[in-house]
Amino acid sequence: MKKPNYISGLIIIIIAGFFYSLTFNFPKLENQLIGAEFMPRVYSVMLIILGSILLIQTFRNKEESDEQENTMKYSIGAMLFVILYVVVIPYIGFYISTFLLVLGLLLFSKVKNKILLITIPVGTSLFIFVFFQILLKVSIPMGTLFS
Amino acid sequence: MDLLLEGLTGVFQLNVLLILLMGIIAGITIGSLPGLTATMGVALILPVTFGMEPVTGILLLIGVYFGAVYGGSITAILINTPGTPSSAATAIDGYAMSKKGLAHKALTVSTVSSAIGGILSVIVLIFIAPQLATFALKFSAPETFALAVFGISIISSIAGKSMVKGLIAGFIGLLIATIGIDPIGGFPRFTFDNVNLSSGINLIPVMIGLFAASEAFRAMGSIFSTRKLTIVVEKVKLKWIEFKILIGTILRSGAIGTFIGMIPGAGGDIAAFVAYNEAKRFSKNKDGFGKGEMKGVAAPEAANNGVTGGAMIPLLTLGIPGDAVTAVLLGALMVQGIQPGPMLFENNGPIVYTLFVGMLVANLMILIVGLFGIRLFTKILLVPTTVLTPIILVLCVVGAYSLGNNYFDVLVMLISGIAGYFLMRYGFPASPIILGIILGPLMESNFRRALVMSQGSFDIFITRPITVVLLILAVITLFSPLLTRKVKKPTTEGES
Amino acid sequence: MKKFLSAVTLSVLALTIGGCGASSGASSDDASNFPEKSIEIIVPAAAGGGTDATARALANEAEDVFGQSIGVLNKTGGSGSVGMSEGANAKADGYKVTMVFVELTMFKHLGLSPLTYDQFKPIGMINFDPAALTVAADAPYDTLEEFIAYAKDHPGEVSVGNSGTGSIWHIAAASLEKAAGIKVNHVPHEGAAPAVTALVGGHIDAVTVSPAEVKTQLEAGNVKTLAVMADTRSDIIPDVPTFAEAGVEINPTGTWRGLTVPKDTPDDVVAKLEEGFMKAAEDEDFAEFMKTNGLGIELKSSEEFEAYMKQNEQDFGEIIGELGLN
Repeated sequence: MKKPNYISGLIIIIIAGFFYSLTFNFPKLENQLIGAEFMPRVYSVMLIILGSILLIQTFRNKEESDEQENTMKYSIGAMLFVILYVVVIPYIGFYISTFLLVLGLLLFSKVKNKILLITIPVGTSLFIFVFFQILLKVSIPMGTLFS
Repeated sequence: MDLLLEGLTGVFQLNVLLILLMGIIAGITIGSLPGLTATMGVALILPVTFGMEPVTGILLLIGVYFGAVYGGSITAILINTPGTPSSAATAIDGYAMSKKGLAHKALTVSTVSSAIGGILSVIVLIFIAPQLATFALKFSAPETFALAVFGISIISSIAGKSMVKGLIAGFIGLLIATIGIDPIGGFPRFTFDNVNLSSGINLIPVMIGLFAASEAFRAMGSIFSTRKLTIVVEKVKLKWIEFKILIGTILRSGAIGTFIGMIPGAGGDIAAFVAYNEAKRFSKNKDGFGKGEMKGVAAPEAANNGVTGGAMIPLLTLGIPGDAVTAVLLGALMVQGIQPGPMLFENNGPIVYTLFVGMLVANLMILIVGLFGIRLFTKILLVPTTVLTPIILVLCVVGAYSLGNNYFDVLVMLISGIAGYFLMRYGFPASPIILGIILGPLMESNFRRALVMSQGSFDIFITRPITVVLLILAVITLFSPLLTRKVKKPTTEGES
Repeated sequence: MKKFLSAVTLSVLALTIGGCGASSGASSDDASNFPEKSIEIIVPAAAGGGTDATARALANEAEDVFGQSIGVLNKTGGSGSVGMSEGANAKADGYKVTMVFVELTMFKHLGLSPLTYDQFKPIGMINFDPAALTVAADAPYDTLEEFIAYAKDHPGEVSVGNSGTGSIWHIAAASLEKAAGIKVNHVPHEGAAPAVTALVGGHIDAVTVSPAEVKTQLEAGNVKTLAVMADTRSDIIPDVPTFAEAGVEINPTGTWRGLTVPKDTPDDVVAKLEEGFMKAAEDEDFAEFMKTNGLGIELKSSEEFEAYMKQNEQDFGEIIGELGLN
């Protein structure tokens, strides 16, 4: 866990520093002792301190073995699927993209059963249609491609 | 007492009981799905009740409300996806129990605790509501600020393995909560000229992302793991002797929930975390928390259902809605010609007592529906990960979207999900982030409102007894885990 | 089995595509048949609030008038500016109606959104609720005059709760300061209900929110309302004088809700919508619903509504400038 700790500690310090610097653009009202900038500054300073403690702790500790098995590339693969899904919904509509996402993820995780490959994507879309669109009257996006 | 008997006859009619049952089942369904909250469920069912008899209509809404608060725990326990923010604390130990094969037992504990917590709060409501309401009114900005600080101090006890990482997570949540219009000055902070950011980051999409989506991403990876980890569902029942150990925690947490529920502005999410913290404080087995401790499930569930009766106290006795759900209920009561407030008990005595009895019955129904439903709920775990994961990811997207039909919430959910995956992967816990987002705005706005009221004098925080007591509690809560860790450190180091 | 499944798949696809086809097919410019399909009202507020309730009740009545179904879509975010922006940028065919409220004339001044009222074409105003100065029941003043005298003796000490900095009730309190020549301590809350709670708890001295929002506490005898900021007395509290009657000249200030369509909507379509929605708003059931919810009905035609929003925007611009919030 040494390397990830260094990286996350640094990222936290950088982000907190960025938020801290933005607070100087906030207007300062004369009659307010504690203004809009006060709490964000407290939080970002605390994050900078805690991030530094994390770096120091990691530096002092002995190497710990990372027991987790590395399946991260598959998780990142799933993330890419969902990112693509969220990007295309406004264009091709919710139902077609959902069908494609679920089918895609099933194939990605090497499901071979043909019945599952059809029933799950269709069933998911149908469930959303009945439960969210009909019963709860959520306005499910239909996509600009068709309007 | 006569009025209570009258209430009994009002409720024990087949059509009333059936409608209440329908409300409970609808509520459990809505509550268990991420993105659909108790408030939304009640608001959606509201128009249906306009055509009903006053008692039937209100009881339908109460069924949905109580059911949704309970329902959130089911998915929290089974798939680490709290259906509502009130169940975020339940996910910590509930999901840990599921991973150990104890899903059946965890659901039993949550069902029993929910029902007892709810019943306790209704009893309090029936007998000492007016006295408590007067006390609740004493809560002004400094008291609410102190309560929020106390809540935030809990971060140290839900930090998990690494205290530093837990605190970092908490402060990330607090910093996220400052995005949007500054609650006192009206100045937009960190909005980067984006209109969607001006009302702040919505808690629920973040919660769906951090818990459900990140867990789904992890599960997609685990499918390819060479070390297969299959979750078994052992039908381990809750033993009577275990229940006897839990009952103290349940009653204490129910009382905490009732108390926090009646304070305007504080709701089930805060109550659940506070009860979790107190359960851990009183427990001899502090290290078991976070690893599947039954008390860690019982406490938040008894507390969030305890909130339901507590929130009714200011609503019915003063006509003051403490949160969004009770605000909708207030509207429903007024449409039915029932005006909540001090005159309610004189003007509408019979109806009020019928509602009270209905609330008790609603909690009993949760117990019955819940216990019968457990076998059905746990079936989710039999669904292979390969099939369940894509469906959860779709539900995350729809749930986030259906909150306000706003696509921005979907993006927030997705970013939280991806960030959440990496945070969990490298040992940063999710619950402190949620706690920070819930309590950050409450703390800051009341802190600064108190200073506006006192015209800049800090004396307001040290001259009011409730404020002082809560602030002292906060300091103790924050530092006690730090101290116990310090004391224990030499021994653990010696062992490793 | 497989055949059945593929049939289901096809029908889902057909539903999806068909559902969209319907919305694109009917876009004739001829207004005589308007409306030919369902109308949607965008409500830029969450389900369950006053704005949502008004929209749903009105939609219910208007369905009978138009003979078409009317859907309500809650679109939250950005204090209402997200939903309103979507409404302003929707297709200008009259099928997407937006419920706007008083904040629309304040966004620009508060620097929250560049959105302004002139990006819409008004259909009409439906509801108006004035600000009402309400104090604790045991306060040492019983009339507006006594309140002002007290505030003059204790400059900056009387705390007046509002529903948020830059909210309409904050503006109302600031108008009161200006009209009466007094100085008060503004205490912002997250909405009107928490402010009223603080007043009942004795933590602040007064609130400037609508009569509906204090009605419960008024009936319970916990608070007393001194005057309302309107030209006429409120139906909810007819015993309370207006500011003018109590001797203080002030612009009527309060929250309002109305319906609009995008700027480029054809005039004959707007005229049809105006006629239909005004008729719906005059219905007895609607009046009854609004009354039980404590919401005031005040109808303004498309033209009047436009002039009113313009006036509001000017007035609020001045006050917001003086408060230093812009």
